[in-house]
Amino acid sequence: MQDDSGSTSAVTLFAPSSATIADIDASITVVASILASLSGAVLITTRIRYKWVPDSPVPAGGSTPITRTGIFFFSTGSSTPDALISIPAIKDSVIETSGPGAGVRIDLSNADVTAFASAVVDNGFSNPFADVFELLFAAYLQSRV
Amino acid sequence: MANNAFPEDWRTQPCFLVSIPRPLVPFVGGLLKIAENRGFWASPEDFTRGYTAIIELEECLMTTCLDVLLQQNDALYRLINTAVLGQAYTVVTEDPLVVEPAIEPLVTLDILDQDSLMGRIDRLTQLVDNRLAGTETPLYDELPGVKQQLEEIIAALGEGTDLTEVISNLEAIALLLA
Repeated sequence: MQDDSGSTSAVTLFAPSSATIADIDASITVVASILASLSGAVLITTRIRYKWVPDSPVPAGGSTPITRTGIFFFSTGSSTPDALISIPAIKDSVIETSGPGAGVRIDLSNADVTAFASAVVDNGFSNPFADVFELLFAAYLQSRV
Repeated sequence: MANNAFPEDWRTQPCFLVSIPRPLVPFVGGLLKIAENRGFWASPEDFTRGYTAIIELEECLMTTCLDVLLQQNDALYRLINTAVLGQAYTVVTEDPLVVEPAIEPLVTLDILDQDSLMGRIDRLTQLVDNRLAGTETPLYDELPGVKQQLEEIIAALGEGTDLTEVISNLEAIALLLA
């Protein structure tokens, strides 16, 4: 929500994990209509987040630093933006060991990489603008925190 | 919140080629992460354009290594040098690629193979010089030339000329031109 100075703040509500996005969106609409009589700020955006955490802490299973991030570039069509998916602590086993990209470029023919690409494309994931991924065409290592 | 705008005509703006050492690529790419976020941009339109551009830039970091570009440049040089002057090359090792002889700072017009482009032109030039003008060349020494033989025929023509000899000379010329 935003006041007339441009400053923003948020109202946080928790919904049942069993609810669908459509259900939650409908509930937000109801609450938002009431907020106008309670707050002088204006509702400018809403966001639905789904967060999953394990019931008990999971021990780290490998020694790969979290900053070694695999960046996978997907195309979404000839006239829509490409986009990336980042995977922290990418394993050395998928990184090329020879050629100009040795140590940096991710091997697109690696079986684990092709399985990941298929899972992403087949399940309809998209870029931030809702353009659906069509093809994994490049991937390499980046250092990201 | 950052307030960064991004121009609508960004695709028609000039581009710059930057050489980044391979070990630095992961860090340079990682630093661009901030521009992938909506909050970095002033408006949804700026976000769409900026996100598109920054992702394409990150793709370019691993598109083509400068070494590959330089190797392709050298390959083009050798293609031209072989085709035009006939320089033969040998691959000594594949990885790293070593080819001999090395590329020289400059090239002379010496013809190294008569089957090259310049070699074939030189062969034609020698042929014309020899067959028409009668000049002896390294490749052709059929003397005398057409010009001289025609002059001899004209000089010999007159009353009582033995046409058998004239015809014989004309046949010789025809053979030279064949």
